[in-house]
Amino acid sequence: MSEFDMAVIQPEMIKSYIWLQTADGSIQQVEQEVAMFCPMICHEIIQKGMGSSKTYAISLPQRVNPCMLSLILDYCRFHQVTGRSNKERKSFDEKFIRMDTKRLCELTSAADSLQLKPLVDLTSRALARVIEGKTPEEIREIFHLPDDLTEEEKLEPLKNSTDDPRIRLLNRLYARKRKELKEREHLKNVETEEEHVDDRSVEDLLSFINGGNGDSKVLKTSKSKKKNRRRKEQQKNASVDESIESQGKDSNGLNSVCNGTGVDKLHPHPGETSTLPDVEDDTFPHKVEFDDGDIDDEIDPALKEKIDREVEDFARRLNSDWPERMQEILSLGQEGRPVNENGSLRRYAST
Amino acid sequence: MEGGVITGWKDIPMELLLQIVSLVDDQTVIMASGVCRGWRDAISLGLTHLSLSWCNKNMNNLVLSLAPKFTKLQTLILRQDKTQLEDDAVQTIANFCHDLQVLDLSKSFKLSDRSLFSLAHGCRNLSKLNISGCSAFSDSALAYLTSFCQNLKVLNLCGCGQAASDIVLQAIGRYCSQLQSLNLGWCDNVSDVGVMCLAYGCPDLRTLDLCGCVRITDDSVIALANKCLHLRSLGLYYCQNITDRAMYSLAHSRVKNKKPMWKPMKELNDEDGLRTLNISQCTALTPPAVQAVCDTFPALHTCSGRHSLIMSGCLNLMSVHCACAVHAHRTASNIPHPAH
Repeated sequence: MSEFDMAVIQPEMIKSYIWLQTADGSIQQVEQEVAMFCPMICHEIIQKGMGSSKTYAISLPQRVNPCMLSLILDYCRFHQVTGRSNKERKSFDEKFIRMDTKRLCELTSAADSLQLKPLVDLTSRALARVIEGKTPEEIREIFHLPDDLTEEEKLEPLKNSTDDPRIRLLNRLYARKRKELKEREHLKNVETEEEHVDDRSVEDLLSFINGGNGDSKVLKTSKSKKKNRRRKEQQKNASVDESIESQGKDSNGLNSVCNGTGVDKLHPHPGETSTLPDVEDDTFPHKVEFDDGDIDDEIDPALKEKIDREVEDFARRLNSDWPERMQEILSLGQEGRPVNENGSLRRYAST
Repeated sequence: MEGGVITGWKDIPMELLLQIVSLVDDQTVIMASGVCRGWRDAISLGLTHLSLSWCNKNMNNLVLSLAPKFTKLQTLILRQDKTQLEDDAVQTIANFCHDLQVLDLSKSFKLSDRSLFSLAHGCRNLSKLNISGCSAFSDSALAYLTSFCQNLKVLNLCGCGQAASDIVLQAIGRYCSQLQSLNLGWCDNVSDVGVMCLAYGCPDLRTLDLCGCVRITDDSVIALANKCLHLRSLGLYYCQNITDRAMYSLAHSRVKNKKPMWKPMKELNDEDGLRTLNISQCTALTPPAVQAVCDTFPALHTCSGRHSLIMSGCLNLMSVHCACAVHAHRTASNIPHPAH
């Protein structure tokens, strides 16, 4: 009612307003020319005559909450003005798009439901930069997606596209972490069994000295090597964890994993992973050289040492590069990582 | 999940996810397909174009695991720097990717005829096939494939000396009448018989590369000149049997087969006619003949900006110039028009 008074008093300020209602029930008024920038709202006004009063407010799709609506309206308010140069629009867009990934997702979703194509394109590009160069686990964490592929399905393409050494090492660290967790649990529950193993190996040793068969000797050495490796792993991982935790920033996916916050995600199904080696061997007769995570024992010691050294190097590099990397990440901010040298190809005939 | 007002990101509409995925590089696409079931299904249903040329080691395994998922692929680029691809991968592609139209298998010299047979049965919609450098194929298998893939428009057989023979060209002429581009570079088994079958069978041929096909003689060029009126690019590098006869046939065919005058002359000249001609090392040619060709086809140029009449190694042809080069110098004497 006050708008009508205003209209009478200041005729040069006549502006029509549109009423919009979001899914949570709240209703707000928006300048008509701003709201009309959204095709969906435009359609509602013109074709259905909605939005002219509070009772006939346009119901917005569920994906648009008040927060997103205000962002979208800011965008519309800027861009619906015709006199702006392309440079102005571009720099507005770049500043506009700087937000955390969660809000970016919500914004994309909301813009899509309102059919606001320019904003959808802008946010899609930003999200594309976010997922570029990431592993599936990192992507899952960023977008809070369910981890609903079977272990086998997950490992398949990831295993085979490990031409990126960074991804390879990442997977080794994850696999290592997974194994370590499994072992820690195992140790907690079955401490006596381990001691039993110890005794047996000592007995084997004695029997060997006394002229026992070769098989048990081999068995013993592999077991003791396994124990030694486990101990070394635990030490190494501990040191990796400490050094990374001490610099605790969480914008790097790897870092958050090593910090232990994401660890649960790595190891949801202890039962499944224990049977994993068999599944892998059956379905992948081709031995991919990277594949060492859960079948450590079957790899010869030399390769194992090499892998351990690589992991150490990686951790060391991570620690030493950390200040520079932080600078890099902070300066790039939400504008995304540097583009991969593989240019992206047009993949779709029509959109 | 927090909030609850916004539906979870896993419920993102497929088109939106595909739009985002279309903006990233191929490696990230593969990563994205391993994130969760929703993403995997969306990408499997929507992905039409994929390149795995960035793989250095595991391309074969990658194809084996991805082809059964990405069944809607239309374009698949598997060009390798380091040969990795094997028959089982191509067989998997043929078993699952029936919509495939563009396939690049260049430099896969480990592939055997088995691959060609499986492609013939599984990928009949192929329109663009590149098997350059696949030296292990035989001509009978390739002929078999062409009899099934009758939509072929672009075929690259560069370096397939064993596979590209007259038998294959006969098959192409018979079955692949829509062929527009054929690369027979360094296929030294090709002779006049094959090229003539090609010319008679593929009237729409636009680009033909016969570089290094040393057995070719004038008869091939004459057949092409008379039958392939849309020919735009012809490569005769190192075809040292070519003589002036071939050149005059090219020039005369243009005059003979001029379309009726309902089309403006200028437009006609720009659309049709040779744009590129490579006669490097064709040392038997003489200037008047080549000049005739150059004058007949305005799109052929010897000037530095648009050099398309390539005559490297033909020292006696240095006097041949295109019209622009002459006008630039503005000489008084008119060049006699030898075509008439």
